[in-house]
Amino acid sequence: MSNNSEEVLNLVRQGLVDSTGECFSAVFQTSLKNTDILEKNSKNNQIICSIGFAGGIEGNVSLVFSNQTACLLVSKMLSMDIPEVSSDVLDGVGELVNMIAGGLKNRLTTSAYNFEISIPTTIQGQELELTTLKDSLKVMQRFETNEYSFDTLVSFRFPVKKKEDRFSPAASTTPSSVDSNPFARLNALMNDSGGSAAA
Amino acid sequence: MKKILVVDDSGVQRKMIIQIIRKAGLNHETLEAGDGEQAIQILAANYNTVGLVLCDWNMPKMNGLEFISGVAKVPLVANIPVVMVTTEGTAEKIAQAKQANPNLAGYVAKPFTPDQLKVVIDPILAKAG
Repeated sequence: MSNNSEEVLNLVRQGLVDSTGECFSAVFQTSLKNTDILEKNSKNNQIICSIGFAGGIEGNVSLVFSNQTACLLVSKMLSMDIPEVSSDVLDGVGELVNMIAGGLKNRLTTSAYNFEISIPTTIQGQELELTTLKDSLKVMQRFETNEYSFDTLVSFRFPVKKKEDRFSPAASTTPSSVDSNPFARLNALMNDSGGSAAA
Repeated sequence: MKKILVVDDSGVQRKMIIQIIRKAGLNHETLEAGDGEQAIQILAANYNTVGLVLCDWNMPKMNGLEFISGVAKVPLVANIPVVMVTTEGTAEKIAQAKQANPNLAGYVAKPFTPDQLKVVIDPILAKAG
């Protein structure tokens, strides 16, 4: 794995942990314990919420809950008992993934990686399988309290372009970077035409 | 007493915001919209009684930025205070929202605690009546 891959993996892992911790602290006034995992929970009844992102890195953030955990969390969010999965439960866990992905985005933007997020999608079913593209990098974390646990997966892929590399007019204009830098392409076009564009 | 319009595509988030408003002892009537287009309809019918708009950013049909930008251009509603309540928390996005609506009265980044929301909306509502 390249140094660049490791750097981004570490940023994503830390961003995910911090963002999830911040979300649960604000919404549930609770702290979470997190661990690296290799496989997500494969319980029979599950809810998976995902948000896609695209830009400097491309991929998605997914949260995997048991039905019981999802009901418990949304019950706490709405201060009412919700014993079974309902439209409110699906909506509520969708809002959680929205806040976590948003927090991750804000943290990575500060770190010079930039992306935009989609609106969330929530799927409920039995024995759902979450797979990722073969060439993608992934960060998997399990978060837990004494009451519940849930799994998270961030899957993304290269090439990763740092924000300043993609948009800075000062970026290198070597042949290999011309294709990916809009300002470099503009420079190249202007040079090709002899720099004599009409005012 | 002025009404509060809560615009968010998540019904759960709207309910949570309204619960915070109630628990803070604020008895303002609340109106709900799931996107910018719905919010326009509701605002058109209540423009003289709405005293605060709490608006999410990422929503289907018409997002929050398009909505607050449009509101700023309509004289009858342009002066209604708008507070963005959104996961878009970067300085760049906050600046973008301020540019879209010069009357932007506040910005609350999700996730937020009840106190973080209350501290922003309390003074606005006190002024709006």
